[in-house]
Amino acid sequence: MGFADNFAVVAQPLPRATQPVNGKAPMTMTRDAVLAVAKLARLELSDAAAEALTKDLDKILGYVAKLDELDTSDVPPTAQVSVVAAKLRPDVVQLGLAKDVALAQAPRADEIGFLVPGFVDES
Amino acid sequence: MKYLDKSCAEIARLVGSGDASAEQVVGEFVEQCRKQAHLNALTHLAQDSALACAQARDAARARGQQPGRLEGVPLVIKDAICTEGLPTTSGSRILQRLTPNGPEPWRAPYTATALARLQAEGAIVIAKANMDEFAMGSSNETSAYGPVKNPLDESRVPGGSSGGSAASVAARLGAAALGSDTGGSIRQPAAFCGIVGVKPTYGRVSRYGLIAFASSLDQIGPMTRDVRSAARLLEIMAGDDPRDSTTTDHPVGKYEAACDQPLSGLRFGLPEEYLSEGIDPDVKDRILTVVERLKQAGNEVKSIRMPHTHYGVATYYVLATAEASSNLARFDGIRFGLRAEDQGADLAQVYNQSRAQGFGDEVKRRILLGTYVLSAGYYDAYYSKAQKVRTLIGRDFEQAFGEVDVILSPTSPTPAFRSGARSADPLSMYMADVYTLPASLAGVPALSLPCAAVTRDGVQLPIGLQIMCPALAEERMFTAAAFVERLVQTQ
Repeated sequence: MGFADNFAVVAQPLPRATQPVNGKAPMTMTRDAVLAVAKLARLELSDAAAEALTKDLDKILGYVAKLDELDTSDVPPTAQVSVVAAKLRPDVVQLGLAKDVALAQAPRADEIGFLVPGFVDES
Repeated sequence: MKYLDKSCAEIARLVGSGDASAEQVVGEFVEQCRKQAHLNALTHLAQDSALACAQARDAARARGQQPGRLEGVPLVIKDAICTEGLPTTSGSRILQRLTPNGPEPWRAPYTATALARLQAEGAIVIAKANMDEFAMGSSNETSAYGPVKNPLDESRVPGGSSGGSAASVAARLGAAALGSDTGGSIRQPAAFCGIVGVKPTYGRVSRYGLIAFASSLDQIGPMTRDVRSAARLLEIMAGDDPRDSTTTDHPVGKYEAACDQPLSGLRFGLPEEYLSEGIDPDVKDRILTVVERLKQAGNEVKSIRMPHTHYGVATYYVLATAEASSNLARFDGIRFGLRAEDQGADLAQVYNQSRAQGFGDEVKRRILLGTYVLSAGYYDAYYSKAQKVRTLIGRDFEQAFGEVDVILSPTSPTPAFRSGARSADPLSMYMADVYTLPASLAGVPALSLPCAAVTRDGVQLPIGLQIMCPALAEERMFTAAAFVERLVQTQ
């Protein structure tokens, strides 16, 4: 599978068995859903780990379904509890971390930048 | 051992007046760190840099430099807080780079603002504290560096996630510690180890240099053996920081002076929901005893209702994991830390394998949960729903603070539990935070202080009282806490 295929999953809905029913949280987590989420999260999972996580997440999500007891149709969401509105600063160029410092602890780097496997398909 | 039992204020006075040197104080605490190594409270003992720093402070004072308000005070710093030149691992393997000479922990190229302000007043970093991996845990059992033992009963957990910080203060490894609190990670371990822990108002202390877990909740705060020391540390740390856009420029109060203020008619509220389902009967009994003494001392304590309290756990574990799944995307094996790279691996495989090898089970569980609740088709059912319930929890506090000035509750429904007792059941672990989560979700300041003890298997275990106040009312919180501290110490 090519690198681009790895991103294709982003646009796909998660496996069918876990779709919400009537806007209510689903009660059943499936192994396929766990694997699909792991792919989105860039986490390789062993079969045993996927099995255990399916059970854990099912139990946790079952508990979270408790939130459905509350009618929130007229309640606005809270994203931040800041006592200040988002602040702005003057648009002035400031020095950031020096390049050699930023690169110093990279697992793989040369004097120009971080090194990664090639990912541009030139065919 | 002349200095181990001294408060931060006493050490600063002794060193500042020349009755002790910073080098003597630091030397004594370093020795104690070595003696108590079996607690596993520390991930790094910074002996050389601490002694060098102490000598430099002593020499500067000899040349006439004015002593700071924390002159010579040895601090233990949670390993999620960046300390220039020292290892910072957030309790995770993923911040350890593999080198030909073995694993090498990441060393932050800068120091967190909150800590830099304490250092400017003479405080000295003596060690980095063990913690639950990426602050995800309530027992300090998820650390890649092994569990921390509770110094009061080594078969029990110190709480988490700032368990190493709390154990360090209780075992005198530092005169004070810094922790971070996302859903109770300062207050719950403070309660389990019998010390004082403060989660400030959201926006009161800069998080610049704190490795992010859930950015709408994270706060750095002090952990000390007495209320006054916590007040002094917070007074120095708090305030606007251009490097954290959530910090407020609201003037920092006189927290230490507030410890000496009279209560002057403060109205206390005791929410029924914090004394109901799931609470250990002994914890309830001890909290009610303290409340009774408060009343006898002439204070008004009324029963109040905060009806959404028990939705806090479900709300938090949706919102915090969602934010964590995003924040932890930066740990990808490219710029720092662990990189797993099989021969011929493509970029996606480097990400997938580095994260698989670098993160522990609890971190993976939360990243997956957070990714799930944010994914297409589930956002409304989980994330958006939890954001709305967060509003309801905030309204509980608004309403309560319309009736009372200070809210009292237990910090934790139980005293410190046994190691391993909950680690196999994530949900039972999450329940340990039931009383600390609402204040985090509402962004209001909360403090835990030891108020009583219960006996378990012949050992006295501390019980924490949580004191919650409206946003930016830290002065009131310290006045109330110092009063309760005096009250319970004169039993």
